[in-house]
Amino acid sequence: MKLRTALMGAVAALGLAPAAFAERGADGHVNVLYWQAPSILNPYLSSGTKDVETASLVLEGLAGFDEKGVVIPRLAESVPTVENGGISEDLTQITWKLKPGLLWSDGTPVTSADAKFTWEYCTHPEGGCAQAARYEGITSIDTPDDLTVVITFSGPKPNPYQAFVGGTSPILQAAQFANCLGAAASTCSEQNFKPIGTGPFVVKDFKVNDVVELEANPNYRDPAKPAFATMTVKGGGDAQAAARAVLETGEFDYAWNTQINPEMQAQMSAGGKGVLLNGFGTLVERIEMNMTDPSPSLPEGERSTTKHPHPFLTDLNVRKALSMAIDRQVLVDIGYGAAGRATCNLVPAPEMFASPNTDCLTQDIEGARALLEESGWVDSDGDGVREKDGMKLKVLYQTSVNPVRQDFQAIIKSFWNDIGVEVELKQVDASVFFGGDAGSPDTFQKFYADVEMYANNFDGTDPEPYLGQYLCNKIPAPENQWQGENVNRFCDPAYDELWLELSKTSEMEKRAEIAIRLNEMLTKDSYVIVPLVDRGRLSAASNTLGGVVLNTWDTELWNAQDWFRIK
Amino acid sequence: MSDATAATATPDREDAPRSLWRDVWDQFRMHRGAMVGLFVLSTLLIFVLIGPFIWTAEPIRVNPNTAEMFRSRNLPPSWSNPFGTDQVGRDIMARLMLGGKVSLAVGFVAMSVAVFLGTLIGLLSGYFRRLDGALMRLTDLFLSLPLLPLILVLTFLYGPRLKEMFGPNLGTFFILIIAIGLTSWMHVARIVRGQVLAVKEREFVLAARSIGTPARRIITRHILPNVLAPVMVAGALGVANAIITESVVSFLGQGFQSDFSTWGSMLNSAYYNQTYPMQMVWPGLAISLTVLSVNYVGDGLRDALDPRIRGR
Repeated sequence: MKLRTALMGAVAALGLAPAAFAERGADGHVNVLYWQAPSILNPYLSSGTKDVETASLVLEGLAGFDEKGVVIPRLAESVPTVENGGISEDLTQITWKLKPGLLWSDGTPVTSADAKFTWEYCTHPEGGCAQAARYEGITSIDTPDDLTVVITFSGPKPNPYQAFVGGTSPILQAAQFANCLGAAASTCSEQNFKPIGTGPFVVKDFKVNDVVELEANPNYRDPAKPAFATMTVKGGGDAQAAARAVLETGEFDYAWNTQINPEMQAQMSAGGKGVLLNGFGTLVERIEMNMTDPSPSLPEGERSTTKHPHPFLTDLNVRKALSMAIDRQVLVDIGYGAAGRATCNLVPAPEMFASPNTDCLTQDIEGARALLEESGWVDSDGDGVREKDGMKLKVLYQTSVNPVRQDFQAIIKSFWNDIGVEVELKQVDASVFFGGDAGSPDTFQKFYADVEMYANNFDGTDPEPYLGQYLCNKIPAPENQWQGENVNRFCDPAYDELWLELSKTSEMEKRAEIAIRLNEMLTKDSYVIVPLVDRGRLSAASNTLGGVVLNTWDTELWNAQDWFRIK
Repeated sequence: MSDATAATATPDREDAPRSLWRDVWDQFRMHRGAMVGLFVLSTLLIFVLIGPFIWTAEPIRVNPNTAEMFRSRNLPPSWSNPFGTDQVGRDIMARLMLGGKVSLAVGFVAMSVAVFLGTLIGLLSGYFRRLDGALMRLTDLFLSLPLLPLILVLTFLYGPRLKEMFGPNLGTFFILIIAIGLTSWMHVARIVRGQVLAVKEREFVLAARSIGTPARRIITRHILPNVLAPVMVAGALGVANAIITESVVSFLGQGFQSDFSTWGSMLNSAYYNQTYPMQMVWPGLAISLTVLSVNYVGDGLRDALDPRIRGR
């Protein structure tokens, strides 16, 4: 019996081994877990990551981003640049060429008309397109022939890789969606649940908010891919259960977004069935300093406005001391483990935009104390809190309700107490804190506290709009219903001027240089923003799943066509 | 006359005159569960009140020396940390003591507020027929309110103002007491009203009224003492409820500053650190023990305060 099983195994292995390299569908089935279940497979009608990423198995754009944030061609033959003539000299036009002979999964040819239709679909005035931002500034799309797409912008566009690039703006099939324009978009359930695409997989069955069954696309452009004949994308559970399903029980091959605490990371990885993959994008947990006075004794409408500068946070030495007192590596080890790394930058990536500054990574309690002394902050009455001119160095430190953030609060409070700063902690429910309701006193924009902590990132690979949040005219105030993004109320004419220069520069090296400078003006020059942890994505993959590369610039399933089974 | 002297000369059981509370205590002692409950509750009280003077570990501050702090995270129970340490290296026993002080204080004070309000409303509505309809509809109204959201809204709306007035921790303490007290008096009010309606018709109340005793005095002298038993029981159970409500509010992050400890907030942070389940066991055990012992004490009190049971 044993011998026979062994022999059969050997025969099976012999039969399968050569097939693993060449043939489409040779590796059978793959199970993917998205614990937030997909609810629609049309990324234009949902901004949910779960929906966009699942849909990216089926729908593709002209180009995408690789794991380094570099633009790579998908349906396009190559990536247009100014050098190869694909982008006009004045940066107002970009010309894409489709690969010849591309077919939709139903066998009909892909043409430039599909791209033009997609633009019309998303910019239709009556349709609520979730990805409209990617098509902003486009005045027209022309299709001189079946394979050429010419996009014209209303003005110079230094970063034209927006429309049709990445998982959030794929090309839809004009024939399928022809009757789904505008208000009809959300009523087209057949189309939205089973879009016809060019990607490696085709939807076989879709149970909303539960499970998507997919099979290999018979018309995929590479005849040898994908290696898997069928795929299941299952929803449900939470990050912890998802990590367990891959790392400990091995029920699934891949689990998305398995953010778990460092102890569990270590414990589950010891299960030996899989590995945790991390990738770093632009999400940075930071402390923001309020440059204006949030004192409750000020009348409503003047609290935290530029009318009243902050009594002590306007002192550079105080801000710098607060930053120097923090041991960032400890925060990483306690809060994020493999999913985080200490950083001093607001813009930590892509690599070319990241400042090499690492000054803040070593904690310097003595140095922080000396800085405060130098500014005249001394503990004259011996209560452990420094004061100057009768004002105590006491900060109100707020953040959202979140167990990791509460641990950070406790730890940072102890650092700050150690240098003679009294700290009061406050935590606000996340839906209120980030809710942006102008009537609530507890939003992060209103900033009725001295310092606050949260994380933010930017979409795509270009930090220009993100750095633009810190211009003088983006300060939240009662006049603009507290809707600005410059929560620090930072205002430096030199910064504004430099940013304006960035928006006019197209040369990549120069752009990177300016962006790094802007980032440093906010962080190591002024300590208005004190970055703490660069938070990555954490996903789990089975040891038997090969070819997985975690990508933080595009969808995580960006290279599902290259996945294979390790035997 | 001679009969009477004979009776006083040969008392049935004891020589000393017996007070009501002595009888109550004697009966209370018969209830084994209540005695155990009282013992556990006293032990807990001693633990949280006297404990911090003996056990002086730091409950709130994290050790700023990161290397030391890192070594002391999530330690199992040992002689230096009898209940172990938490995820940022603070001694769990010290935190339990501080948390217990807060949780028990909130429980007892909020219960007192609720019992006071409930007794007042119950007496008024039971005794004065004209007030009855309005006050009972008010009680129904409060009973039909979803309490947890109401408490959250109260802490959200009035919390900041109280915190400004009394400082962050005392302010939160007051808002919790007020919020819990305001939302848990209804059962007491209903019980009291029922009792008052029954007692009001008794002969001694009729007698008092017939000699022209004013309503105020009838209530305080004749009715209140007779409804005290159920009030004390409801109060004891109310303590348990208030402690649980405080835990829930802390668990939801609406209570005290995040590094301040209460049993509820300790449970909350332990919940996210499931690799070390013991961290959840300690505050959970403390809450359960308190609630259970308070319930048993309430049970014993009910028996002891009821003269019909007391005789047997």
